Amino acid sequence: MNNFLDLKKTWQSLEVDADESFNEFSQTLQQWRKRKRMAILLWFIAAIFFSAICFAYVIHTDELNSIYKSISEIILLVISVHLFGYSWGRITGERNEYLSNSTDFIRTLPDIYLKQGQRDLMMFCIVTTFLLISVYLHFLDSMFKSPAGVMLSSTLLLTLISIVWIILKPILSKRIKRKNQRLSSKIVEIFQYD
Amino acid sequence: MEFEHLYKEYSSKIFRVCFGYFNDTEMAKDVMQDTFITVFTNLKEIKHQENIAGWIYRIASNKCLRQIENEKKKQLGSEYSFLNHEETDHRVEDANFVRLHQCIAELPDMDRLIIGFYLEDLKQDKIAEILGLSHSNVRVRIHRIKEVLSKKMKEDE
Repeated sequence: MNNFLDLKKTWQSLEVDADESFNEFSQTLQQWRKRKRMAILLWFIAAIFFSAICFAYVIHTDELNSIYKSISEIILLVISVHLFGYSWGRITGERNEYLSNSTDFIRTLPDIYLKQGQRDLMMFCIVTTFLLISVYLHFLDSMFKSPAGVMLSSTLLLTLISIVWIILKPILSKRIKRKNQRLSSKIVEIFQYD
Repeated sequence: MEFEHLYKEYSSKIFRVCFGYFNDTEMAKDVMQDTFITVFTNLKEIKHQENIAGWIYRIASNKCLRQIENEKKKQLGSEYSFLNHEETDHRVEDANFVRLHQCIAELPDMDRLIIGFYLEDLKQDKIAEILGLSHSNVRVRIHRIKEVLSKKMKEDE
């Protein structure tokens, strides 16, 4: 086995049964397409369902003729449209790993993950903040009846927003960075023999 | 080019490269199928049909390297029905085959891919292009890997 040609012969002795493998692959491809179609279908159902809710909500609050509730519904609508657009991008988006060579591809992975993670985190914080504000505005009219109620709910709103930005965000950001560092160190290991 | 024809022509080659990288049948099969899903979905976008082999190998090597995202440990794999049965039975009992793959499994990540491509008769400049390394780097590495493999195989004999 000293001869390199023997090694090559041994290496190439592993053969895949092309027909059976192709049949298996066709099934996998079918399942993959089914999953993708299902994700898109679920997305559309969610979008339609949410549009119906929004529509009903808009009619309901228009009848009430409240400025706070109108602002609240606009905030909800903007958040939802943005979230649906964002999730659509996540469903249909694919990494172009067929374009770059392996070194470039693998070296850019941590950057891609870090940016993606931070974008997701930022999205979570902003959406949660606006959601809290919209809930607050929705009930503001009824809270105006007692000054203590306004004070209490405003304090609660500020506390919740502070928890999101001052406590949750740094914790989650640290977790993303830790995960990213683990990935980066693995990549360094790959290139340490260069 | 028709996809089925491409699959049948390259599936064994890609499977061997993946198996050389992971030394795990299940992982190799998953990555091979994942590679061909990417090939299938992006086949229309490839303009230079003559470089299709390099393109498929590049997808496969990127998919292999991307597995560092997973924490799963490597292990010697079991058999799969899509492997050629006659060949498989003979292969598993083939001590040289097992020894060769054990020796390759001990190589660094990039070297496992380089030797896989080299054993698939890819030219050094093509390997360099796929992996994004310089030609001289690939040449030196192949020389070193050959020496290491020969030495290890001799030791085990």
